[in-house]
Amino acid sequence: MSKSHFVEVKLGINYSENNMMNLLKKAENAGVIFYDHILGVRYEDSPTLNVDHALQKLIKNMQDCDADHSLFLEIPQKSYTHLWFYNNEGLLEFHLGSFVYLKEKHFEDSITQIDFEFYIDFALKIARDFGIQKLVADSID
Amino acid sequence: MSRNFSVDLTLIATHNNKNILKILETGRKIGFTYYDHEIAKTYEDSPIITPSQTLKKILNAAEFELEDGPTVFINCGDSNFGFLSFHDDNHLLKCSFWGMRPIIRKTFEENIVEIDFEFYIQLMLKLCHGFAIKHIELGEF
Repeated sequence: MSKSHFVEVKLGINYSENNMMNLLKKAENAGVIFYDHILGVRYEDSPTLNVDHALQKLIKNMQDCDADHSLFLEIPQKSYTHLWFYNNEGLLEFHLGSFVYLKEKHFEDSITQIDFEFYIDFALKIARDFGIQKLVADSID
Repeated sequence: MSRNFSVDLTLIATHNNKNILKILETGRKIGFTYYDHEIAKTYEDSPIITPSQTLKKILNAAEFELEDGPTVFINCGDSNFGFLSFHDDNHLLKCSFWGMRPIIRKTFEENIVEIDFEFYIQLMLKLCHGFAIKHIELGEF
């Protein structure tokens, strides 16, 4: 059974559209491409979005209970992730997960595993100006 | 009451002397100093010990089954001190850095001054480089 990996980061800034936009702009500056995924189309083949449209899509999906609340992103070095925003006690929290083209690496004891350092580095890069209150990286079966 | 923080990494590596020593040696290479603290002495005035001596100290401490696990006092450059602990987490090696003094703080967006967790996460990633990460978490106590 394949594992699902995730990185969760709670920031020291309020949960607001303005701060979601600030974070998406940091992601854009870090080289992220936002996709407008459409059912039946491969994620990578979906149209790309600018940062304003990416936020609009997220907000719209968050208001629609049946929709997936995530945004699909390409992060540098050809890896893909979903991004979710949450309200954690009034503060903005984001999750990265459901990675596509998972970055793996060969480690000590001859094991090949997810390269969490790669995903944590990316999370730190977009979060660094906002203050980190919580960071968890883990895998579930 | 002062706040205490920790960064805890569980590695996909066996809790054994070889792996602990490897981490301690990496620590030495990236500028860590290990101290052989003695009761009634200030930590900083305690004798400096090598990674091998530190491992021996940790193994001796393990015999007492301290709640915080075998711990060693360290300096990680620029007068930054703290404690490094090694636990057996279901046979996996868990490495924790805690009790940082002084706490490195940074001014974030909205002029909030908080602990610079990014500094400590990057430090721990460097310390455990080469090992696969199973779980990383920040703590406050």
